[in-house]
Amino acid sequence: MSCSISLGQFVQQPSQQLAINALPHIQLTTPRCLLLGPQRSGKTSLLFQYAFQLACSGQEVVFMCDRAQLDQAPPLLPFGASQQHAAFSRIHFKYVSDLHQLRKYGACLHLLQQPPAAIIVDDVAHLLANTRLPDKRARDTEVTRALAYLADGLDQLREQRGLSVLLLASDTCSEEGPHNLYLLQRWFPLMLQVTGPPPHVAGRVLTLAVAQACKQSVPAAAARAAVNYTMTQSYLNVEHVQL
Amino acid sequence: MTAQLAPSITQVADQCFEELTTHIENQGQLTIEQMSKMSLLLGRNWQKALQVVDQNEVECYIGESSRRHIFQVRGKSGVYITFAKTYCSCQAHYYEVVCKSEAPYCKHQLAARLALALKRCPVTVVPDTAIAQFLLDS
Repeated sequence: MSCSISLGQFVQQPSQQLAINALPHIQLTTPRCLLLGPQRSGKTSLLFQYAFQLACSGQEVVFMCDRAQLDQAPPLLPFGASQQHAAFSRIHFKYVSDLHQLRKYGACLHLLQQPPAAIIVDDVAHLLANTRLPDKRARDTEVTRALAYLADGLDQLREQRGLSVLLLASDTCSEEGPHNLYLLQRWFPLMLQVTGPPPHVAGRVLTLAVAQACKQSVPAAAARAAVNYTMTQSYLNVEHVQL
Repeated sequence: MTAQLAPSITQVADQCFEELTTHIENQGQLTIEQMSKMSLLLGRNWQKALQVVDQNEVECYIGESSRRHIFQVRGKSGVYITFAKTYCSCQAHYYEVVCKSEAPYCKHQLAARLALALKRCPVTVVPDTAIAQFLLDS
């Protein structure tokens, strides 16, 4: 079972994984990672790709998301995977509509008899937008509290029961950058950024790489690494690994 | 080759706290030198934390099966839920630690760690559901 998240885990082909994993390891071995990107940049599909990778190796994954949002824009399948693939039975969807529900899950993590290998949270910004709070301070406080409960629950699973549960979350940011980066970066030592042309551009290629805000904490070679994806109507396909 | 960065103040504070905890386990008390070092590093929050510990305002609750623990620290405005290293529900944590990064920890977090190291806080074992309820009620 993997104890940390890295860029190599977002590709399927072993040769591509080897190429990325041959890079100098980032200084931080972290079980928590944040995926940043603008709206409709393929973040959910990338999270799902990651979940599928873990599920293929026999690990259970909890995928937390807003059901309405998922129905509107379901994730693309990993390239070559059919809808009947056995690994999908190990991906458990937990529908949450706002940060209050995410916080409740974090508060109850220690009650799980068999925690999953990874918890994936799709779009913190969307959950925040759905959370009715009076002002910015209240919204910031709720983001901090929800992530604190989640992180503390996972830390204590590791310390008390020796279980390493990975946490991978995504957050939607504008072209200027993520609005809540100062809130989020304290929980996620590793941040990856998705960039690429708008959704209407035919044959668009997405790039997944270490986020600018995180590049100083990783070796230069790892900071330059990137994975290029294409998105067809149904599939997410790794085109190229830049080293 | 890995990137070499200067340690953050949080990392330095954690290192000092670990040394302090080890010393307390071996010697049973703090030395003046350690107190001075922590005061220099953490400033007024360290002084305030000492007051909180002296006034016995820290309580620790631990789940009987999961061993998940939380701290409750009494403050001016009520009782705060505190995770010693990562979070406190007080306003000072939000403004000083999260927003402005002026301090690595608030006084309640420091008091919780210190009280536990000095055995100055009662540790109560409760059902795991009670731990969840504490968190949900805060």
